[in-house]
Amino acid sequence: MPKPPQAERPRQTERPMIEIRNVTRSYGSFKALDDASLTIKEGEFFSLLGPSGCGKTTLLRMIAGFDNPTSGLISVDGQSMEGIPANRRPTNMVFQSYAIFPHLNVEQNVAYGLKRLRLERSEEKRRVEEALVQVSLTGLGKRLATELSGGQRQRVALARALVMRPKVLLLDEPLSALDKKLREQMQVELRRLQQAVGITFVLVTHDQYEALAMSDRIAVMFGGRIAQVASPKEIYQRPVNRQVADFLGGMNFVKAEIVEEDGAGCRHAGLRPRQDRQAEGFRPQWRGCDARHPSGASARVVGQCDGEIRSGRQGGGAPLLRRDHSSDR
Amino acid sequence: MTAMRRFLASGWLSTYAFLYVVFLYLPVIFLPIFSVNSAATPKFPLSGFTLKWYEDLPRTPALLDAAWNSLVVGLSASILSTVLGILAARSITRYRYPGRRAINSLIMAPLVLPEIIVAISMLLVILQLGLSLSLFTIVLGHVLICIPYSMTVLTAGFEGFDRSLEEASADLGESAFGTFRRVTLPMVAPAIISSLLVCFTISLDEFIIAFFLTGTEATLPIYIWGQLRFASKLPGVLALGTLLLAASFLLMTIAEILRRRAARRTQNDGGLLA
Repeated sequence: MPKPPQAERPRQTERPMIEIRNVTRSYGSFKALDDASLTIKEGEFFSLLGPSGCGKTTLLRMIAGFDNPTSGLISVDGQSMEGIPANRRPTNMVFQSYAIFPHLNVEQNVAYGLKRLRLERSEEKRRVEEALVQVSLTGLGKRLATELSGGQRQRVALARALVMRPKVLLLDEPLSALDKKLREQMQVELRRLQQAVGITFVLVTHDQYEALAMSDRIAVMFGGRIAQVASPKEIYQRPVNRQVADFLGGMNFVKAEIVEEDGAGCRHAGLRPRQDRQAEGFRPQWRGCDARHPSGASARVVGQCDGEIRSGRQGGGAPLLRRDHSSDR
Repeated sequence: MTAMRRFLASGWLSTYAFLYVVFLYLPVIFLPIFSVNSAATPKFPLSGFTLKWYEDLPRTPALLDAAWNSLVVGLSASILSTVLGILAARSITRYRYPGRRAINSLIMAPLVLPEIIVAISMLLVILQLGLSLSLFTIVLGHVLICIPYSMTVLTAGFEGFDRSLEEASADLGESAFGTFRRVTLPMVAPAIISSLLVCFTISLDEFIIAFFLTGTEATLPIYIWGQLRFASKLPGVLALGTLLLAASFLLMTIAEILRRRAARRTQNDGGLLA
């Protein structure tokens, strides 16, 4: 994707862009979102990951202004969003269905939001052109939405949102309708685009590989609650509980105890909790469930595997469940 | 499957289809044929070609009055039933509420109710209310029977209207009214026009309700019915009938084209499900 001609935007900073404070959304007695708190930083590529019905889309729609929290507060760029309708929020959205206006052509779709700003004709044209370049759709401006492929429609939806220069771009499962090959290509392009424009991206997805591949940070959600917020690496290697570990896939679950050789606190690289010294699982590509003492003293994991053990290591022999450790990590 | 194919090959099915079409349209074809026949009685052999029956039409004041009345009634009924149809179709396709299906069935019911019963009941109610019979009462009756058609056309246009289109418009900064003007209206305009045409056509051809609910003013079908008592007026009626037929056919064709275009527009959107 060519580098956008527009001015450089602020890179990722520590400044909070979106703040979610104790947000709950109830429908009768059902809580779609239950006391969620979250801070998304400026310029961050943030993913809300979870199975369907976990509340991730509800949260995204509340940030966009299509839904309102039953209680709690959402602020964008330091400004409370309470009582501010969707059309006056500094956010733009890429819809799951893309929601391309079928009675308008590509250019008219992209210019839709700009019309409200009453720009000079040449300025409007320039910004539309710029947005089409950003999403590699140059030359298709006169096409009707009905004449576009799924991938092209998605690019139109992206351009239509980006042309507004929002503070936050919200993406609701944008890749779910694409075939596998196109999806992988778009993952790379979306990530590159985000880094080029420097806008905060919030992505909703149920695809753990997508989230792991694209995000700076991920919030894993289950049943309306946020289970863990961390970097992809942290989430994969140190899931906070069995549910998160299982959702990310490929975890071997064990019932094992960490035996400390010298009585000091020790931790292991597998699934926590570390406090009660129960090892719970390990990833296929690891040699096994191991324990490590902070000081380098030896510790052992003793236990039994729950079922079949998946191993991602080639030629490394059977994964170990019992392993003495000194300081080889 | 093979039995079916053999049956088709035997020609029975095509014979049946041919006869069906003949019975359906032969009488209709006679109408324009006799309307240009120079003899005053409609029978073969044809005696000669003439357009005089058509030329006489504009010289009949009663007919012009009836045509004008039909136009007024048709326009009023089609606009009224389309407006009511839009409200109903929008509510039925857009919202989920208890009794939605029941309400839908009730609105569609006049489609299967015997028209003469509807006409008599309406007449009783109108007389009870103390209203005097006029073109206005015909409009009321026509709205009642037009709404099911209007609903059918409009529901097809509204259904599959992706709600996220309106959300996308709001998301891009447009107000509720702006969204209606820039997205909703252009998307459903073909269905609305199609509904207007269908209702106008129905009102134009409708006889029973107009007959019961009219005061002293006649609509075209009532005028035609009155003329049938005089044998000498028959060729003029045939000419008028031919014109009505052509107009109905034309309007319905336009309506159907627009309805399909509307359905294609709304249903094609979304991309992933299309």
